[in-house]
Amino acid sequence: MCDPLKEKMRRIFIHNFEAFRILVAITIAFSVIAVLVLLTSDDAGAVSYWFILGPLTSMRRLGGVLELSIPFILCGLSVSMMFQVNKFNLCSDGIFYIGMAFASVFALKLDLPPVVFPIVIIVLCAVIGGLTALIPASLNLKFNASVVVCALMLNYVLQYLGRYILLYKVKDPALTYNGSAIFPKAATLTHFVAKTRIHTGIFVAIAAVLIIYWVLRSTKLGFAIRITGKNEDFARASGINVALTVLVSQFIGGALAGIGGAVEVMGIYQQFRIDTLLGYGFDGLLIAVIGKNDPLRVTVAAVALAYLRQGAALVNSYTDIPLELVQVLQSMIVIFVAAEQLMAGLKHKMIVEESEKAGGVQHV
Amino acid sequence: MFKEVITGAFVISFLYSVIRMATPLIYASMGAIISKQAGTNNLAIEATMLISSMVGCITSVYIPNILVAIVAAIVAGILLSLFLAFMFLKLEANCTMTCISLNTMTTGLAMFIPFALFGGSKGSSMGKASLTFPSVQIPLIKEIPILGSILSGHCILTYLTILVTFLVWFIIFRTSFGLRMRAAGENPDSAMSVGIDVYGVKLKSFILTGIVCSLGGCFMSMYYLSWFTAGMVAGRGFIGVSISNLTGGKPFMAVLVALIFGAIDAMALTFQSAFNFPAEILQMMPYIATIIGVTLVSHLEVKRKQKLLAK
Repeated sequence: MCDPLKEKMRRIFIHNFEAFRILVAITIAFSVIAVLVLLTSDDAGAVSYWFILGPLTSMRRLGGVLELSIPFILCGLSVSMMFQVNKFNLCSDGIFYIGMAFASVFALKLDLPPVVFPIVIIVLCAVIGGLTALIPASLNLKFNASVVVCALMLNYVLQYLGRYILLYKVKDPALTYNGSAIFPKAATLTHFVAKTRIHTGIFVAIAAVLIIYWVLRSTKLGFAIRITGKNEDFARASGINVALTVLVSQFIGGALAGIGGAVEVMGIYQQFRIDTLLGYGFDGLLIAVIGKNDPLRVTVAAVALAYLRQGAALVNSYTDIPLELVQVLQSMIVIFVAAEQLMAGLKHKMIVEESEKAGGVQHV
Repeated sequence: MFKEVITGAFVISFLYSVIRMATPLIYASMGAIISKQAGTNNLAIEATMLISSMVGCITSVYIPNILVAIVAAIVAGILLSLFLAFMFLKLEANCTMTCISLNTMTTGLAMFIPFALFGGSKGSSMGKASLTFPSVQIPLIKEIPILGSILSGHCILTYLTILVTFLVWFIIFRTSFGLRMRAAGENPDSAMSVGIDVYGVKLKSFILTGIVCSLGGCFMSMYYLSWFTAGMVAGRGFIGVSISNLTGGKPFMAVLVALIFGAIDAMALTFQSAFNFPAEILQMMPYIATIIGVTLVSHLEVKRKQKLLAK
């Protein structure tokens, strides 16, 4: 090794191996999608343009990226909090939807002054979300039931519950479609950027990121959560109450998803008219996996995903490629990132070379 | 209210529905049982059923031959299972994460491909002439007064479940391949030390699961409904996984449990028109039942292990 530049680049590569691995996974997924697009589209050039540069072409479109970042950040934080302790509690999707449903109920049935109203609704939905997330978590802790299956089933239950609320509890008979009345102005989040729908919920999202970051870095609870996630036996041996830590992390995760739903319905829709799960919980899964459960990385991943989705929406409007293709893309990224053996051969080779250099032992 | 509704005809049509609703669950749980016995935590049953229901239905639009459609569906199921096997066995991906993502990926494909092929509404092949399985009346059985109307008149895939259940039981518990598979599932290291090709056995189990689940998928889009729609599997794959966990991987017990879940499904369907119950509350029932069932069984399993340790 006599070339210092090459050596330096090797250092950077080894140090950031994980990031490169994620990049490779993303590239593979993109390539597959590119092939699909080339096969099915008449104008692949337009598709590329709208997908890559589209969101930058106008204030409204760029605003759309930020609007979508809000639920993505909150759902990404939600899933990453729940995954931090190695519990695959996937009920964020259902909790987000039920958060929207209950926020509508509160918005229409309660009556509170302007700034207080949304805050109260957010707090209530956070509590509801947290308690809901505790269902699969406590069934798992107490009865060893599978978290994944219980959470996925719970998503379906929450979907029907939300739909029930939509059709029987808040439905406005004056409307021709299934929707609630428009929320009173006091219960909505104001749009404060002209030509966009960016609402004050973005401050809620930013606050959530900062609070979670602070909790994880600087509090006893955050430490307990991180250690439990890395090695549960070590945590238990250190005197950490693992069961309580798991429950608290699941509660926080559920609360974040509930906040996400409340903020979304009060900020963007200002009315409850959705009757299916939006799927943001699974976007949160992707964000948490790419962001490795770290709040700041999660935020970057959330904004990046929001950019991708906005691009896909534009592709959907202006070309013949539908939005769902990006869903396929996202899923492929998660699949390839989760493939730990991807590039593991290279990693192994590098580890062997490093240890040979350090220890002076020759590889026989 | 009850007296007027619970007539003989109501009960007969209810029991008929039970068998109908249980059929995809039986296929899903058979696929899940194969995977469970092989020790792979395969949660992608749902995705396999979805992709095969889409491929089967859409193939029958272009090639109006039901046999071709079934074969195409099975091939699709096998291909998806092979992809999962590659990610799980070769690249050592986290199975849970991969399966969840496969589910969202196939949902996306299920919305995208009908649109790409037909245009029109996304994720649905409604309006396109696709084939369905005919209802089959069994000559002697249909003459039996009450049982006849319940047991006869289903599609051939329903009657095939009897054969499939028996085959699955036979393969797992009465063949040497099944023995190797169970050994690999229970303790891969010991199995390898005895010379069993754990990798190959698990690969074959993935393929078998794919075949069985694709039959369930065919049922959904080519009999239960006569078109394909992206949300049609509705968690049945996961319920199948739960059934296999509930019964500890025993095929005949699984059929029983699948019938119970089919009954809950049928209740959701018939009660809403009969008793004017809000549909949404009833539709929750199968999923709540699954949660309760999984919890109960896991609890009993823990108790059983504790008892064994205490001895």
